[in-house]
This record gives sequence, structure tokens and C-alpha cells, in this order.
Amino acid sequence: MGRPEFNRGGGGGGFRGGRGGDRGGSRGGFGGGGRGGYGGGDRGSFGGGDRGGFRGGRGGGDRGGFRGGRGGGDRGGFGGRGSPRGGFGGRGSPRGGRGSPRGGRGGAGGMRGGKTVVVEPHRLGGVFIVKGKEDALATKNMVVGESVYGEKRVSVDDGAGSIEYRVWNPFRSKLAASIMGGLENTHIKPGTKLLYLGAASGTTVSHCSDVVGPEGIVYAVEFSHRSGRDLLGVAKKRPNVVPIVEDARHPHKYRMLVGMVDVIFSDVAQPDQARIVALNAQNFLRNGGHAVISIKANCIDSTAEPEAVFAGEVNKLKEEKFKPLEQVTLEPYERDHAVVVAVYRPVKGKKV
Amino acid sequence: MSALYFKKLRKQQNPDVSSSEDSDSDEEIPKKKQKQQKPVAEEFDDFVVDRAVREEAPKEGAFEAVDLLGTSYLEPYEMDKDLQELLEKSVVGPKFEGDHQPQNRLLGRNAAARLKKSEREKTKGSAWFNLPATELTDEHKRDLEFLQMRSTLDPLAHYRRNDRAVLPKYFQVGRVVDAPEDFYSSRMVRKERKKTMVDEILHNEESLSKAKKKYAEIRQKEQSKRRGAFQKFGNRKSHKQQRESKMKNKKK
Repeated sequence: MGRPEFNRGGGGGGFRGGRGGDRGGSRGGFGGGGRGGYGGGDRGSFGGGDRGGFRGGRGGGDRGGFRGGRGGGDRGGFGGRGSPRGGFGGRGSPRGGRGSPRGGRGGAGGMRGGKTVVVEPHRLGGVFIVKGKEDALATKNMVVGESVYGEKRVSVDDGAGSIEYRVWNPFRSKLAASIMGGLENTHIKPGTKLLYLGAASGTTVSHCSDVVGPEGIVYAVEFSHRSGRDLLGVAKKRPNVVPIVEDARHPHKYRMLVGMVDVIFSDVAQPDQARIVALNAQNFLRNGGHAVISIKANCIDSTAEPEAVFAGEVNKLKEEKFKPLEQVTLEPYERDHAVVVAVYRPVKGKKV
Repeated sequence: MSALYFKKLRKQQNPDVSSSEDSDSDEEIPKKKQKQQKPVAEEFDDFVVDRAVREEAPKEGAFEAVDLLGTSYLEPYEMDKDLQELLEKSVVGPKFEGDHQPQNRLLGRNAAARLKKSEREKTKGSAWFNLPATELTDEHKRDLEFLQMRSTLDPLAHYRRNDRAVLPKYFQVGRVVDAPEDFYSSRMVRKERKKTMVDEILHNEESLSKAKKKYAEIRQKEQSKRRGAFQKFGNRKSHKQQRESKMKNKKK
């Protein structure tokens, strides 16, 4: 996952350059002027991508609460968000110039091991916010002592046993990005029965497993055997994850494994994603259940405008008895992505 | 019973006879004693008869009581139908003794509601896996206030506005776990680890030096602004000094 983030262009360029300066300074402190220049260039290119992705995601856990009232994604409003990252970029050059006194502080910033933080509840059930010098989304770890993909963990020691929270990186999880983008309700909460299409390696599936808790269940469907292997590893340790390595276009093949579900989350980057979601909804989703669909505009139609692609997908869902409720774009975490929340065959008189 | 009693009396009379023979052989005076003893025996006889009669009476009483109890056991207790109908409608009925105080309640309705509410407020709820309302000690309070004021630490870092003006009620204080792969990159050195956020800031030399510099700057600015600053450092002279200088000029 790190490589795609690194390849992502756009506004990140200036930010990475600044970061490189900082690293160069730190190296210079140790090895001398000439070597510092070389090291700065090389390490900066790598560190910039990784750290940028890591740090940007922690910009504000409060954002979810702030934007909760805004139902749909407003592209104009999102444009203003560039300034925080610009600020980060500008930070690099003065530090680079003064590298020598701060040579030993290369690891400054970010959530470092041993730092004291405060855990607060998020607006959405099952989700938490970790606040320190930087904020981060988190879920309560179902398997204490284990991290799934190398993410940070926060350990809380209250007298009655050990509790852990796992940091949820929105640059690596589209569901986390939608929560940060201000989604009003994901309908994934403790006790939910979730059908996850396009589980990949199980990164977001592990966080969904934390959210639904022991009373809920996650059916994770993945087509690729290569990713399915990692998914099996995640499912071995989490009793509420059912891994299914099958094609989501043929739900009849795994209908014996899946019961009736409350929510379908779909992250399959396929041109016929709407049809895939509709087929699975007809087989498994209850009336009044919800679908949360991540739409990648380039996979549907790479020539059309993203807004037009999103609107087309929403229309396809309407034809399949879905009623759309919310739509948010995933800027700045994912480019040309949107998440749509819809209700399937809404029950009259009930709150959707 | 009476036969046994008479036998006991005969045994008592026999030793009397033997004693009287001894007295006759000794003197005349014992003869008088013999006469006295006989009436005593007669009294005993009267007493015996009375006791026999009295004993019979309690026996009869006991017999009657037994009969009564027997009759009460044999015949079942039957209530009038009208009385049964009335008792069924009332609180005090045959079932009343089994139901101990049906109207009793340990807590009133409002008190029970208050108790339930206080129990409910101890945690955030099951949707957040019962995140507790941690006790707000001085250390926790300072850490939470620090989080509200963290934007002052770094002028180049920008934070979203605080979502509320009060300190949170449900929170937990934790520590970031360092994995082995973070040893050189993202880990706090042992010397840097403190118990609270405020301690981490106070022992951070960079932050401290910045804060001291800022403090000195603000102090200097206030010095130049406060009352009386111009009298000490300014260019103008007071009226008194001006008058004195004029007098000197006139004299010259």
C-alpha cells in the first residue's frame, strides 16, 4: 500500500520536498555536509511519501463531528483543506536550514511509542478518537497485543484487565476516509451483521471486526486468492470474521455461508459494481438494510468526469430498489473517490 | 394408680407398728405418742381420697380436650360460600399469608429512576463498549486542558477548532505501544517518557526554550506599555523639571 501512496502526485510534491529538507538536516548533523545532501535527497523521497500519508491522516479527529451536519460531499468546501498540508510543507525548509542543532530529533512528530494520549468516543458507535499532539481514529482491539498491518496501538491500563485501541489510518482504509470526510452514519456499529465485498488483505475488515464486536459478524468476500491468503490470516484470530474466497458476481456460490445481513460494504473496483451490489443485496440484505459503496471513478469510466460517474452509479442503484441517502468524496485521502450510502427497499414508517 | 398408692400406705404403716413396740417396752410416756400418731394416719387417708378424686378430674379434662382436637382434625374446615366470595375480592384472603407485603417496594418510583440514571451515566454505553467516565484528577484535568491549548505549541501546526468548550466526561488515558520495528524511527527515548502529557512538554527542551523566549518577549512589551514607563525611559520631562529649567535659564 505504501507504493501507491508514494506514486500519488498533486499537492503532495511540495510537502515531500519540505520533508526531505528536514531529513537532510538530521543526517547532516551526524555525517557532515556533503553526505547530508545526498542522504537528504534519497531519504526524503521515501520518508516524504510515507510520513505524509501517515501524518496527514491525523489532521483532525474532530472533523467527523464538525462535518456531521453536512449530508453530502461539497467539493468546493474541500478545496480549502489544502492549507494544513501546505503548512506542513513550509515547516520543512527552516528546519532543514537549522539541521545541525536538532540532529538527534529526526523522529519528532507523529505518534511515537511511549507517548501519553487520551482516548475519547467518536460520534459513531464503536469508533474512538485518540488525541495527543496529533489526532487519530481508532477502534478497540479485539485481539489484544496484535496489530494487523503494523499500525500503532494505544494501551490503556485500567485495573480490570488490559484494553487496547488500534489506530485506523484513513489513507489505507476507504471506510475510515469516509468517516473523516463527514459521513453522518455508516450503519456499522456493535452488533451489526456486515457483508464486506472486496475485502482484499483484510485491513479494513479487521477494523470492522473491532467495530461490530463479539455480537456482530463480518462476512468478508474476496476474489483474489493472493489477497485471500492474508484475509484467512486475519480471520484466524478474529472469531467474528468469516472469510469467503469467491467471486462476488456469483452470490449463489456462497449463499450457504452467509445469513441475512444488515449492511453491505462494497469496495470492488469493477465497472459493474452496482450490479454486483444489487445481486448480493437480493440474496442477503434485509429490507431496510443499508449499502455503503465506495466508487472509484476511473474504474467505472476513465474518460468521464467523476461527478458524472458518481451520478450514473447512483442512478443504477435507484433502478435496483435502492434509495440513496448520503454521498461524500474522499478527498484528500483518495482522489476521484466517493462513498454512497443507500437503503435497500426502505420499510414504510421506519427510520431509514 | 390408686392400688399402687394403697400399697405404699401399707408399707408406711408397718414401720409404725415396729416403732410402737419399741416404745411400749421402754416407758409409759411413749403410749401417749402412739395415740397421737393414729390421727395422723387418719388424716393421710382423707388426703389420699381427695387426691384420687382430683386425679380423676384432670383425666376427664384431658380426655375431653383430646376429643375436641380429634374432631377438629377429622372434620375439614368449611367456609360459607358468601364469605368465600367476599374474601376473593379482598386483599386479605387465603393467599395473603403467602404473599409477603405485595405493596412494599424498597425504592420509590422516582428514586429508582434516579438510581438507574446514575448507573447509566457511569459509562458511555454499550455502543462504545462501555467507555468509562474516568475520574477527573488533577493530572487528567491538566492533560485535557493541554489538549485544548495545544495549538500554541507550534505556530506552523494547524488544528481543527475544539468541538466543545468543556472537558470531556468519558475518556481514557493510554500510552502508545512501541513495536520492535519502531526502535529507531518512531519511539520515545527512555529519558523522554513521562507519566503525563504536561510532563512530556515541560521536559522537552525545545518547547521550554521557545516558551521562555516568548515569555521574555511578552514581559518586555508589557514593561514598555505600563503606567510610568515614559517617566523612566521617555523623552519628556515633568512639569516640575520644566519649571526648574526655565528658572535656571532666567537666572542665566
